[in-house]
Amino acid sequence: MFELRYPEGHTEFELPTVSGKATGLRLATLLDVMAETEYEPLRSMMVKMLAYSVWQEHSEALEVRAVFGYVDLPTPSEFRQGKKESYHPLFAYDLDFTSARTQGQ
Amino acid sequence: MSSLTNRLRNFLLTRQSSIWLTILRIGLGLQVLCYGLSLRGDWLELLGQENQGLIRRDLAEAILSARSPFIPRIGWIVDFGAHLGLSEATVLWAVWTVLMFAALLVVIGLFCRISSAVVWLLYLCTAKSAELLSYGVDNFTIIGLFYLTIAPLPDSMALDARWRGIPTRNPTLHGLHRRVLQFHMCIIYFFGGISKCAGRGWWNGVSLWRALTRAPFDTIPPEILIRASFILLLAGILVCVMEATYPIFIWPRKTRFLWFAGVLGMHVGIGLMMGMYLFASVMIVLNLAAFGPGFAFNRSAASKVRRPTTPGRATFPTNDLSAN
Repeated sequence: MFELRYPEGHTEFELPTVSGKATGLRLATLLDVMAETEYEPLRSMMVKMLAYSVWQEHSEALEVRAVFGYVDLPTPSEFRQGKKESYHPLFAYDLDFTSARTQGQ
Repeated sequence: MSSLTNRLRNFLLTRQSSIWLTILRIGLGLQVLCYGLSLRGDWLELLGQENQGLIRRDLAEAILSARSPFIPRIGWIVDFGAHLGLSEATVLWAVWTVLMFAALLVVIGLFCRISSAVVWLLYLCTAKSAELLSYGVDNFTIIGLFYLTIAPLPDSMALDARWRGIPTRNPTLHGLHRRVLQFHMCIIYFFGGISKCAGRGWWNGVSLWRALTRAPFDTIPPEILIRASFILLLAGILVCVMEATYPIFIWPRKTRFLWFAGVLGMHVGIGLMMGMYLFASVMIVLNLAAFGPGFAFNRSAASKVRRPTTPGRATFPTNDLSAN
């Protein structure tokens, strides 16, 4: 999930978007790869690239906070008891796009 | 000993019609067409580098280079295009167009050898350059396209044979190639099945439940799935057993159709219930080509002797020992 912070102070939440369902299935693979990558510099670079693709759609934003987590799905018996899926953050990155925004202008 | 050698030779060098190759060629050609059309809207996002991609292509290709510098990639074609003064976007769209055109030629069977080699190479390049976003469908399509490229083309239904008059190849060669594909399918299912059997989740339905309720594969609401949880339990066990025992029960005449139909049913289920249509279709194509007509069931046209229709172009009777 990406938290976009704008100059006037408001915040928006975004998920990476693609235009087709076929690409959506592939995006799920990418998110899995990111979560499983243990080499921190590589994971950080992948997160930055994905955040940049999101920022390009919202180039007014100054900062992007990228939060990665996993969804804990209930088992069938837990689901019957009313338990819902729960979200657990794994890692977060704060990315500053001030200079990119300035260059864009 | 010589009897065993003869039996092995007869098993490997069985005579086959080219129907399996027709299925492989048309199926994979359509598969690649669907792949290209389904990704058309995101083509530059997937493979772009110049501030366009989800993940820049150079990162994926750097990871590839760490494994081997010889793995084909889109970057080579883009670099070549840059020498000619072409932009990255132009080259990427040119790759898409050539891939689609070559896949169309594969479907109709015109210039099959060269067109299948072009499709295989371009598909390999795109899949490897977007490997961080790739999943099973790409691996299996690449495997299938490789077998198609080295197969004894053309098959009797291809325009190369029917229109250009190129003779079909020796049926024994068809038999050998089909056997190799059959063995490969057996290995794929055996290890897939064994790895599933090793986990507890496939025996109690939880793995299947998780697979079907996890985004973006959750096409069926969990409220509906939970009503059929006993089917999930049964289906999970069936998937384990069917995959792990595929290399055993796909060969005997009495069980081959059951296992063949079961595996096809499993892939249809994956396609419909998880929305993985391309993955389902490539597995169905590979199964049909490997164990379909002339093996799991007989197609009358495939098992009949055909008389040569033009001089120098002969089609041969099938004599699949295992099918008789």
